[in-house]
Amino acid sequence: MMMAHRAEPLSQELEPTAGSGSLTICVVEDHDEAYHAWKKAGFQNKILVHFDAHIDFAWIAPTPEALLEKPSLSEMMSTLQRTPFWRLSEKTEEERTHLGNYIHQAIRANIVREFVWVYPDDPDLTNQTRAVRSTLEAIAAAAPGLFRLIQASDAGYFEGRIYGRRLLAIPYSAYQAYVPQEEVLLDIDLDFFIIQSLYSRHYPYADVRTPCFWLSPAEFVSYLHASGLRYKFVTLAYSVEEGYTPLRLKFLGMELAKRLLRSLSEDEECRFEALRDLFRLSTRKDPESEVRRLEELIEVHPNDAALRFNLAMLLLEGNDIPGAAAQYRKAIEADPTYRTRYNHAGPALLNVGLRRAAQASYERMKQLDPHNPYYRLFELGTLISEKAWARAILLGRELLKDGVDHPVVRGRLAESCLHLRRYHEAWDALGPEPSGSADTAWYQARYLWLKARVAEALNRREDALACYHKLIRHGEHSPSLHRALARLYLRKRNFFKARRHLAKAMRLAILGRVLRWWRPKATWDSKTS
Amino acid sequence: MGFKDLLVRSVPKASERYERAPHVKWRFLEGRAVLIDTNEGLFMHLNDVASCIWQGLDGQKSVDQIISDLDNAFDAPAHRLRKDLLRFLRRLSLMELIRRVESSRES
Repeated sequence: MMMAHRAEPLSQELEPTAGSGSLTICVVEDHDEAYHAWKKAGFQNKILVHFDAHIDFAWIAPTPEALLEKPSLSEMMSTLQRTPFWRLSEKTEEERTHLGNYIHQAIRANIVREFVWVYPDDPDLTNQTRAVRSTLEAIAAAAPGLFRLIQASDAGYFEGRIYGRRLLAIPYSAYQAYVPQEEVLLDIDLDFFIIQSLYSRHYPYADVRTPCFWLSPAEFVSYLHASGLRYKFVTLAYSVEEGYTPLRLKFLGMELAKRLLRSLSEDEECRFEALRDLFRLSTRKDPESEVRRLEELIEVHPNDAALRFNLAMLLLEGNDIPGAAAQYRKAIEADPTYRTRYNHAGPALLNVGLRRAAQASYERMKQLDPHNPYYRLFELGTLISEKAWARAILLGRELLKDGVDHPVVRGRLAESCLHLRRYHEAWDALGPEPSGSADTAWYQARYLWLKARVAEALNRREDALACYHKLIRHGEHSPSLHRALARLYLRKRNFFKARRHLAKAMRLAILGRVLRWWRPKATWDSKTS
Repeated sequence: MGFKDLLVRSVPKASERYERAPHVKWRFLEGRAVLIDTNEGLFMHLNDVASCIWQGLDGQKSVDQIISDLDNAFDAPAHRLRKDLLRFLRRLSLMELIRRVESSRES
């Protein structure tokens, strides 16, 4: 289920005051929608100032067609040397744009001439600087011809060149010193306000159990105005769906958009402050007064979904289930986007490996909304881990019937069928290949593995081969993958390929341990580093 | 398919016709064929003779016709050209970069 906030200029919704001029603000759910908004607005050669706890920069390998279009053999060869070529895909680059690589696309499309990543300030400057440095070095090591690191300083300032264009990584407290003269594209991810340490064990997420602000939107906006940064186009990304910003903080997008456009009324200040106070460690000690405060505000603003949803969560923490359920119902009546798979911390807790905490979160939410089929996803995972295949099949089918057509459900249903040797059912359950994104890459790989195994069991050799080859293009290189290919080519009596894949499998098995410890190292050009 | 079929398949016959596999993307660049095997993620560029052979693998020409084209284009003994061509076709076939045109399609 996608959130309702697509790339729509909020300036139409929020009347700009005299001070805001012709400022356009796009509030988007997935950050890659910012790229489409810039493209639609026709920006070229701009400086992008990106306030985010994540750099959002990953490489996109060329398609075979794009590679063949190169004007000379030498250019083709140099592209090959610089990119992870085995990640070939039939999909176009546009189709492969996701929230992890849209800035790469924007630079390639000449929308962005200079990329300034402003990362959060952290009291432990040494560790924060080390985390940023290793992020940049990982990018540089992946494509040394395309990204050169030039300068690093102990104060956390980094400079590099992507496709010959400038990249700066600056801590939040220092960006005022690097404000350019010209108008920039301003891009803000809301997780910037709640993810402070880029080296913490929760990273790339915030502390999902107790998220708190290290910077308030009011401080951010006043510092922005004081910096003299000139901007006319702002993109704000929620990143709720991927779990980076908890849904309880969804109000933050509206608060920031309003603050950028104009100063808030007293009533709005009061409402946003009450909501933000819920995430302060000091106010967490007295939940009862917070409940009273929210109830008073709801009396004045009965249709405010953010107030009602946060009140529901507070009451739930205090074990007032009927009260929480009533508030939750009213919240989703006012804004149905509060009834998503990500409206609690469970999925993010699972992603960071805190299974017991995730289970508690799912159980709590089930008390509020027992009919939400997405909450049964966790149950399905538990049945799989307990190897209760038959029950998992029943539940998987039930979920599909209830409209939860998620790749995880299909994958787990097929896996259960495969274990019970119900191959035809497994084949049907897998359905079409899930579309690609940064966070579905794992599902896609899992899907291809399952499909290949089912195809082999059904003696559909060509389908199995196609799936294994796709896995290679996804960057999978494991001994078991090459062993499977060798097995299939042996059955096809193509001894040439069988021998080749068997040799690859053996090489990977032997060198696997060594390669695990070996990583290409990026180099810095300047002696100042 | 038995072991005999495998041996026969690996040595192309003069009357057989071959075509390029659909998963191979290619183009001519600077007078030479550049190939990308999208299944395996392999990139290769061929020399002049191999490029000439690759161009002839359109599913229309027989192996004999390709040899006669080569004979016209290159100053080399015919037996040498035949030997090189058959070895090259065998290798391409084993790498699944080309496939034999079936007899039903021939007629």
